[in-house]
Amino acid sequence: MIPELGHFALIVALLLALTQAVLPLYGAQRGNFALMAVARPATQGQFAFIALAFACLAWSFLANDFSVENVARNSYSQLPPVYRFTATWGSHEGSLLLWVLILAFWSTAVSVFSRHLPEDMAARVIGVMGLISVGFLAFLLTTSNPFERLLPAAMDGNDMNPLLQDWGMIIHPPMLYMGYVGFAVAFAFAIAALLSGRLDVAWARWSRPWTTVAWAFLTLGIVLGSWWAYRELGWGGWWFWDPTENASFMPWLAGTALIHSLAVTEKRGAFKAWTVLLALIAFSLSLLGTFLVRSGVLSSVHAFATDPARGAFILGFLAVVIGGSLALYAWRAPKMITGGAFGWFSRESLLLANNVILVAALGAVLLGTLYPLFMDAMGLGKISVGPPYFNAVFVPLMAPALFLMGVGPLARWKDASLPGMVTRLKWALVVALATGLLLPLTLDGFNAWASLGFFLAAWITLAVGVAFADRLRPGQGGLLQKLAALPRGFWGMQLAHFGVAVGIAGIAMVANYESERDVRMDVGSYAELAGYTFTFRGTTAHDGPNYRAARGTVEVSRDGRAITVLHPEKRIYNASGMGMTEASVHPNLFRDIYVAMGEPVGDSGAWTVRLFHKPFINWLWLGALFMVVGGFLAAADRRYRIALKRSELPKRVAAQGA
Amino acid sequence: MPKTLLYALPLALAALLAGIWLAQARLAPQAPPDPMEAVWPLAFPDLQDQPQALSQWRGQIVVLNFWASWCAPCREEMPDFAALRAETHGRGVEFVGIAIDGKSNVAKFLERQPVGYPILIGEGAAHGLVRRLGNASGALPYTVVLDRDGRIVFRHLGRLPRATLETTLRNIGA
Repeated sequence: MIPELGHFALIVALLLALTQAVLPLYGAQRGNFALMAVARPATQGQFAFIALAFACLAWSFLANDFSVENVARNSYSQLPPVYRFTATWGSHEGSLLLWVLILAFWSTAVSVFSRHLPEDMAARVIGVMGLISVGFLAFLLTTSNPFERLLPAAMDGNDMNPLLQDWGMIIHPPMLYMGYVGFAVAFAFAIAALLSGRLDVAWARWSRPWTTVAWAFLTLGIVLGSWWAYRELGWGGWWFWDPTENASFMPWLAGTALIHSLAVTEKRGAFKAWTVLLALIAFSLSLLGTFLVRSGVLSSVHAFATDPARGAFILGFLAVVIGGSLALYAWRAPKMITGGAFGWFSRESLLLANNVILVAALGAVLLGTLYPLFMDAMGLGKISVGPPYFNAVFVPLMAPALFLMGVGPLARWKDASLPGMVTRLKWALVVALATGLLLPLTLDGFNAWASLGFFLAAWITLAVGVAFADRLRPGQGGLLQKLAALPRGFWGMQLAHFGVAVGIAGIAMVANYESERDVRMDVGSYAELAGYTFTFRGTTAHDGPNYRAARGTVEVSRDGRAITVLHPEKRIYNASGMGMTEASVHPNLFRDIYVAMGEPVGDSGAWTVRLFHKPFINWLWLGALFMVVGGFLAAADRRYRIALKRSELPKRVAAQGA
Repeated sequence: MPKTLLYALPLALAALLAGIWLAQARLAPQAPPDPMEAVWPLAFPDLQDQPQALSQWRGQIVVLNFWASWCAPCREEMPDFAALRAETHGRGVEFVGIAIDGKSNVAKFLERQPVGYPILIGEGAAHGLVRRLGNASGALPYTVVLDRDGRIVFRHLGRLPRATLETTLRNIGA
């Protein structure tokens, strides 16, 4: 009964989404406030019904209802409850349900926090989000119903993919979707602006905090995915340029370009048409990413053909959304008035350079991701381009962008002075160059790539320092007071940029100075790596809730001093019979020691063991966390709330007058 | 307008020249008619870190396969190669897989999918070799077949169907 209730709730949600889309958009066009007023209750109702459907599916998983096909395929009675819950979005159907749930959540957030918007603007934004909801709900109900029954019911489930049974996977998909889907808000704002023809500074100020928050969530989601791959795939890599990773990285690049170009539109009224186009692109790439991952086209174009209904639906939807929005753009954009002029060296021109580079990098990633798919679809052979291509195009493109990252925030709007900038930054440049050149020499001799990384990290860090020093010129109050008085937008930007510096330092270290060994270890034997001694104490049998494991014991010491005891496991999952390597990691701020079990050798209890020393790897995640926190801080800037209060005032006065 | 032109014109000219130079550099006809002469002396390490010279296979029919563990079509064709190698090895055919990949990735892959023919670790260096052997895009998998005189008789970019390879080998007398 519960699954049928969920199915029914989804149908009601689709009808509400249709209402949310059609009436407010029509009302806004005709100036009918009664129709526009439908937007908010319809949105909130839609959210309530999707949440109900989601709860029904989660209940089916938690209660082990194997008469639901989705549950039977993706869950298992011995699976721990927390993974039974996350299995709710582990399947294709479930993850789409999560997608629409999060879209409804964002729509509801817009409906609550849009009181300060002009009524027709709010109605259009919410209406456009309703249109997207309609598309996805229709897709879910017609091709991917998560509540499909399986009769007769299965005795037990097929189990969740063991790789996904990790707590990184519990929060990775929701965070990633918060980002993906969050760009729908920026998209809806852009479409609403195109429809109304009101594309002004106020529009940029409204959509900016939404975009920044979505970007921060997407950053978090990508990093969690990378962190999961690092620990769970058992070979210590953290980025593979895999098409699924690229699918989330492309919207991130577009979103990064977008938050920077929105800054220009908000502060100077320039780049309007470009900003709108980026908002359309960012969300289109989110949809493309969903299509790539969800249609099965990535594993092979033939997987696409096995379920043509799904693929054709998403492809059609993609064509309607991207084609429709670009057509609207082509029709409306030429009518927009361009904003203030700016000099060839100014904050605007530097941000323009940032945008050009980010979009070029995006194009390179897009090409590398889609090219093999096209080749395959055209029957020209199955090929793969992989990391060599991406590293070759991406690193040279990003290095200048990162250099500009130091200069941009210090340049004045409109017209900056290049000689003045040189004077301000000459010491920073000298110190950064010296760091880049000398640091590798103290580590392991000259290394050009490490030098480049250290130089950029030092350069950005010093530029952040200079920016703070500029803001803290002598004046009233103590240092802490002055720091606290700085706007959150400034803090957020600087923290995010500093996070990039920390991340680059981490990448430069781990990519150039990591070491690993693949050794055969007898019980009681030891091996050395990067100054650490690893002693193998054999394996014991260990039974988990839904797997059996050989659990190794490896003692780690340095200069005779015990550091830690690690327990890597080799697991066999009961239901699927799949083997899994569960690495064991001892982290600290400066290195990870990472041990993974290989295979047993002979009958004496010996194993092959993989040992990794990963210097500064945690700086990567730390830097990304700074970026996320920076994003949230910037979105919480006071000026967005002041705008909110000021516009509330007349309404309240009007209410009292009545 | 004229002021913009003043900047734009030299820029456009410079871009044009750079483009012509790039096209010249990339598309110029390959100078050495037989790239293999430069390739035979090369050596790559195997999984035991022992350098293996390519010249040791000179005189046999060699199927030189460039692959990587991150390349899905490569992984799909390798079982075919392993089977074909077992069939034809007695007739003087050798398969050599050069991985555009790191040692640990290769070791981990071969653990699950042993192939029985020599695998060398090419890392990034072998990528230039792929281009020299006529694959300008650098994409994988890339397979060339060498006859007993050490000449390239067949090149293929992308997953290689087993039947095509069998025909090729038969035509050069394997």
